[in-house]
Parts: sequence; structure tokens; C-alpha cells
Amino acid sequence: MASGATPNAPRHGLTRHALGAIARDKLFAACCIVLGVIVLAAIVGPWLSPHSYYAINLDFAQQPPQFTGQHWFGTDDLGRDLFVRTMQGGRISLMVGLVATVVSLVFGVVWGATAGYLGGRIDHLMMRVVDIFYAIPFMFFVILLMVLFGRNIILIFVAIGAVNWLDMARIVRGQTLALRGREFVQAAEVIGASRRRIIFRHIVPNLAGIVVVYATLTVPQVILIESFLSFLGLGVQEPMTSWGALVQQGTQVMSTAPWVLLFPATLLAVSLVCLNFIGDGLRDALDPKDRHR
Amino acid sequence: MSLLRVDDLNVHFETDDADVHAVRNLDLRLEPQESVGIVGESGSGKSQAMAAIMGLLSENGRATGSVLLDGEEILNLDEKALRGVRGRRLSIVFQDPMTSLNPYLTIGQQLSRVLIEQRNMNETMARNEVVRMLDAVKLPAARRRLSSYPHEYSGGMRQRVMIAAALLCRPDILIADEPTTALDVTVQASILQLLGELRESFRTALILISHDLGVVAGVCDRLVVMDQGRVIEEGPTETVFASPQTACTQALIEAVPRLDRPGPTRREVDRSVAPLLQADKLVVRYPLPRPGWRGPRRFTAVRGVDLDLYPGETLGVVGESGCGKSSLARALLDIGRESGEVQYLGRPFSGLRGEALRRARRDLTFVFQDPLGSLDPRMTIEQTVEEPALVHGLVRERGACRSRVIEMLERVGLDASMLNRYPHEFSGGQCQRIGIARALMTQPRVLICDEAVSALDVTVQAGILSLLDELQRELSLAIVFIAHDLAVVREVSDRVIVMYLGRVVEAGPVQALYSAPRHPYTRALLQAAPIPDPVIERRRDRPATQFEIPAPWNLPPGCPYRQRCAHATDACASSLPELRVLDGDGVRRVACHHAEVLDLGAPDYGDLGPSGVGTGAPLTVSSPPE
Repeated sequence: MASGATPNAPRHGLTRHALGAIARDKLFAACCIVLGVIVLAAIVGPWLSPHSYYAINLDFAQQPPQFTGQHWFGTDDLGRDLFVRTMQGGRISLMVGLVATVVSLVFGVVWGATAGYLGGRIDHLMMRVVDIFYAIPFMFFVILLMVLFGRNIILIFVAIGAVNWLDMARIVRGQTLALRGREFVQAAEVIGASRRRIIFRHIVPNLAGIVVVYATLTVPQVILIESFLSFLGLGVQEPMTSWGALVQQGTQVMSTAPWVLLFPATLLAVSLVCLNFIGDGLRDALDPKDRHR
Repeated sequence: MSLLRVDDLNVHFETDDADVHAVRNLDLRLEPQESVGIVGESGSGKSQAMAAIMGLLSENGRATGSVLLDGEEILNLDEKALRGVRGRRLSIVFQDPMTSLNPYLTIGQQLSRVLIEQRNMNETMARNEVVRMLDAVKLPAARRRLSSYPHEYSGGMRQRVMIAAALLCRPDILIADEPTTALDVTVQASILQLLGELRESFRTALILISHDLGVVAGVCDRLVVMDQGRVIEEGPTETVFASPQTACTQALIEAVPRLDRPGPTRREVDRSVAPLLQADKLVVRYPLPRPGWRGPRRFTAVRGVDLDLYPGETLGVVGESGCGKSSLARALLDIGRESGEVQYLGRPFSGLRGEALRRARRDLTFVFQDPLGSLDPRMTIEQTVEEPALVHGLVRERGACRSRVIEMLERVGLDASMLNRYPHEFSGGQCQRIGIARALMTQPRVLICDEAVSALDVTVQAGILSLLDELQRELSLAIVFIAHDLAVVREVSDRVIVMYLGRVVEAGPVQALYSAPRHPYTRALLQAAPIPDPVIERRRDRPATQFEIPAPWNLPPGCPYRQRCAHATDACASSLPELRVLDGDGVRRVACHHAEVLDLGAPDYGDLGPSGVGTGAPLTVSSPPE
């Protein structure tokens, strides 16, 4: 039970409550630290290293990793420093994951919650828009964008973001329909709360659990989509790279230089696992009922 | 030897907070064909004791002690062994018939599954047996209904199906856990009567768990009263009622409002002033989704209701579920109204704009049925209570009106230490007080209570009722009190309107209406309400209700009540009776063609005088033919 707070105690709303719950969750903390280190390394790594991610040096092709030497993670078949390339790839992959997820979060949640709460004709109309977007073949959409605007990493963000919010909108709408019938929403209605207030103060906070879990699942999904696009030649272009692209290259030299696969693949896997645990932790932390788990 | 012998049963739950000792040293004996009532407030451990016996405890629960069924130990058996016991020897009927059935299977499939698995019957045999059983629980047109899905059944019918399911394998013991709590009084009366009859015809022992003493009074031979996991009193039903040994039992008995006792005297309401709230021919309709493109079918929930409410007055609204009580309540706030007019302080709601509309919305507030469900689980108590102030712009930012929030919480008997907690940490009664505090935040003049005490224990209910009364006196609130429990409505109301299928069938001052109902429906309701006294309950003349409420769409012409009415004539089938003034003073209104000529007499509250106490006859609800 919460301690008997005095009237002058600081407010402790959901955010504060969540922070408290997070502080108690050790697995969550560990995952945050690991992911934080990876993110930090991806940001500062390329600056710290004397090498650049695009400098080719065929004299040093396929050097195994030497932790005391020049190339910590070794080099690839063109002699490029794998540490810098992995960190550079991490920047792209994490950025794609982050941007696409933020887009799908903001747009999908608002869209889905609005459609679900308003219902009727507006709901129909809004969900038909979603259906139309769904009906556009993803690859066709990406190729069209590339043809129209030329190759650009920003376009990858746009394309993935444009597709990913659809799932979120559908999930959120379904949940909202269930929430709309609950008495506390009716209570807000009879108080005279505006629709805007009901959606943002009552519906959206109660969607937090499912949204957070889905969002953390979106990050890995998006990272994988990006690597697939890169593999097809539609994503990032050499010498720029991403984890997906690095893994793809690594598989080609797996038998002769396993480290080329090992380092980016490990970082990708570790990041994804951490994201999943963070998602679970956040869901529990955001649920006031689940405070003692 | 007892059929069921429970010795020293203890149930513990391990939670993160503490080890909860839910049932303490329970001893219980049940003889064959006996019926035992277990009563107690929620949280007294009565359901958990039964769950332990059935092996239905949740993961973190642990039961110790001994439960002998016919001399065999059944406590903590493994799943496989339990399957032989459940259904065949011990069966259970749960409170909520809405969620106990699988919505994706037809009734026939669900019930015959039991027989196919438990008694190795083939499909045809199982089906026939199911039909026999559904007939036994008096489900009309049982064979035809086998292929229906649960949602096509009414609540009462579903509960009958649940009882049939429980009896399919002819168990020795039927445990009914609050079987009628979710049902209307009329349906409750018929289900209780059914349980009594089935006990005879199937030779089953019955354990009836209830928080409602009225329910157990008529059905049970013996009573066990539980409080905080302990049995605090045990004995023959009549003895327990007549001379309760513990203060707790006494409080439990006294907290129940009783129809056979005179109601409280109410303050005189000044009706010479203008009414606060007036409704005129209110109609509420809902669209029902229909497959395909045929356009929505419309369901009329409220069909032209008039009412008025004066300052400081309480208007009771009663009726079975589906009669449009709640829709009426929302329509009074101008939500969902299709036609008709609501006037607040003499001005039509639809004409209110700007400040006047905000003023009206501030003045009319609402208290909901589900205490926990009406509070946002992700908002702290402070955020919940201050919300109306924020919505109405009385304060600009969150937390700015803390002193007022605290004042309101203290007003309803809570304190400031709750501000930062979440709703799920509180009991039902506390949550309802929070709901009332929220409603009072804007200093309203009208409080609309939609089944505000229905989900609460009797003792808690009594607390909330006296709080409402106190608030009414101090703040001269007008209250619209909607409930299905007639005794509760009488406790708090000055005037009562009785609704049936969207229409008012009778309206009048509370004393007159309860002592001499003029509409057959009102009388049926009063007659069905249980009275917490085994002697009286046994003596009451309670005709079985043959029909449940007809579907509110496609109502046949004429009086909507005529199929259930014992006094119906041809005139009732041809034209709809209007609500008309009956007495000279213009306060008694009835919608019945025969109101002038019918002499319904006072409802039978069983008060035949002091004779006939304790005759020792079996306690079943009697149903002499009319």
C-alpha cells in the first residue's frame, strides 16, 4: 500500500508512479543499461575511431578482430573497419526503428482512438482510409517513392512510418471500442468533458499497456524491414550501411570471416531482446494495478 | 454420516503485500438434501471457502484442512481426480450468468458437451437429456432453443441454463454462489423458487451463498454467517433471524431495508415552487447494428416519459432491467435524447447556450452503479475528484483545488491520505464515496444516482444511503434515485415512478404506492421482493411469474404488460393504456385500463400477525395457484 501521503505531498500521477515501478524492476534496468550503452556507442563510436566507415584498404581485407590492435572488430572483405561500420549501421537501424515507431505511435494512436471513440460514420471513414493504405503493396509503394524522389534515407523513414501506423491504428481502435463502453468514460461524458479531453485524458492513458508493448514490437520489425529493403537495393546504399545490410554481407563471408557476421548480428539481437524486455517492463510500470510485480 | 464434512478449512492467499488469511478454521456439515445458506459481506471468505472445496482457488491460494465428501477426502485433489468430483458430485452456479457461458457455442453444444464427456453419452442421448433438464428448469420451448447462442437469452434464462448445466450429472451437492445477485427481483423470485423445487425433485443438497439475507431466508434450512474468514454464527435459519447471537449478524439483519416494516418518514417537500427539473415526453432511441446494408434498426429505450423534480426531493425510479431507467437518467442530462424536452429551471435544455448550459451541466451530476468501473483506473483519486472542476473551468490547472477536493472527500467520509492512491486500492463502498465526492465537486443541485448502491453490501449500502440523506438535507439536493431494489427505493424516496419497457406505468407518493399499488406490475414487483425473515417469507403468497419481459423491439399492440398480467382482458390487447391521473389530488398516475375497477389490495408482506411462528415446516417458497 502507498504510504499515507500528506495533503502537501508532491503529486504523483502516472508518470511518477511509473518511474517508481521502473526503479524496482531489475531486469528492466539491466536492459536499459545495455541498450543505452549500444546507443551511446553507435553515436560516439564513429567519432572516436581513427577509421572512417567508407575508407577501403585492400591490404587489410578480412582481418580478424584484434582488441589491442587497429581494428577491434576486424575488417570486412574490402578492408573497411568493422567497428566503425557496425556503429554507423547501428545509427541507421536504431534511427529507422525510432522514427518509424514514433510515427506509428503518435499517428496510429490518435487516429485509432479518435475513430474508435467517435464511432459511426467518422469511424467508418477513418478506417476505410486505413484499409486503402493497407491495400497499397508495400514494395510498389517504396519503388514509386524512389522513382519519384530519388534514393534517400529519409524516404525509407517515410515509407516504413506510413505503413506501420496502420497496424497501430487498428489495434488502438479495437481497444478504444472496448473502453468506450466502460463506466468511467460515461462518467466523464456526464461530467460534460469534451471529446478531446475524453480521448486524451481517459482513453489514451488506458491504452498505454497495449500500445507500449506493440510499439516495442514495432522497433525490431522495422529494423528488419529496413534490412530487407537494403538487401533489395532499395534501402541504404554503399558505403553507408545498416545492421541489416551488414548481416547480409556477413552471411556471404560466413565461412571465411565469421566475425563480419558475428558483431552486427549480436548487437542487433541484443538490442531487440532488450527492447522486448523494456516493453514488458513499461507495460507493467504503466499499470497502477501491477505495482508490485 | 454427513454428506459433506468440512473440518478446519483454512485458505491463505500469498500476495506481495501480505499473506491473506481468507478463510479461518471453517467447519461445516451438510446432510443429504439439506440446504445451507452462507451469508456474509463481500470479503468474508464465503466464496473462497467454496472455491477451495471445489478446487477452484486461484494460483496463489493454498487450502489446508479436510473436506470429506461421503467420507472421501476431496481437498487439494489433482485436476484429474477433481474432474470426477466436479459436476458429478459437486456442482456450482456462479453469480454472473452473462459471463459463465461461452458466447461462441450454442446452448445445446455447451450442455451436451458435459454429458458426452462426463457420462459418455452419444450426441442424440445427450441432446435429449439436455432438453429434459432445460424443461426441468422451466425454460420455455427448450428444444427449439438448443441451437440459440447465449446472447439470445435473457439474464434469467441464462441463469436457468447455468442451473440446468450444474444439475446435468445429478450432483449430490449444488453450490450456488450469489445466483440471483445480477438478476431482477421478479426473476430472482422465480429462480429461488426453482432452486427450492429442484432440491426436492433432484434430491440435491444446496449450499446458497449470498450477501442478501432476504434471498437465503426463504430457501435455506440452516444458516452460516461468516465475517472476516470466520464463522461467527450458525444455526437453523429461523433461530438466527429471530435471535442473532453476535452483533455482526444483528447488524447484517438490521441493515436490510424491509418492505414489511413502515418506511422512514420523509421531510415535507415544498411543491409550490417551480420544479428544478422537468421532463416532457422524453424519447430515447438507439440504433442497433444490422448486418448488410439495410440500415440501422432502432430500439426505443424510453417511450415518452414525463417527470418533474422539486428542490430537496428524492424521486425514485424502479423497474426491471431493460425498462429504460438508465437511458432515462442519461436523457435527463440531455444525452441520447431523441425527442421530448428536458427543462432545467423552466428553460429547455436544448435552448441553453454558453454559460447557461455550463451552469446546467454543473448543477446536474451523476453517480454510477459500478463503483470501481466508474473511476478511471489510471487516475489518482485527486485527479478523479477534481476532474469536474477542471472540465467546467472552475480551476485552471491540475492540483489547484486540492483543498476543495479534500473537503469533498471528508464530506463523504474519506480522508486526505487517499489523494494519491488509485481506485483499485479501495473497496466498493469507498469507491462509491469517491464517485459521490466527484459528483459534489461542482456544487450541484440535482444528483442522479443510477443504481448507485446496487453493487454494494447491505451494510455498506446503508452507509451510502444515510450519506445521501445527509447530503440532501445539508445541501438541499434533489435526487433522482434509480434502482431495481424496491425496499431501498422506499427508504430514500418521496415519490416513486415505476417503469416498464420504456413507459411509466405507475407514479405516486411513496407510502401510497407501496401500501396500495394500483398497477398489476407494481404489485408483482413488490410481491417478488424478498423479505429477510424466514417465517414471513415462507408464508407469503408468491405467484410464479410465467413470462419474462418480452423483447423491447417489435412490441405487440396493446398494453405491453398484458402477457404477464393476471387481469388482462381483450381491451388490454387492443389499445395502449395511457398514463392518467387516478386520485383527485393529481399525484397518483397509473397506466392501466382497469385501474379504477381492479382491487389489487395491499401487497402481501406476510404480516399476518404473531401466529404461526416456528412451525418447523420445510422452508421452501410456496407457490399456491392464484
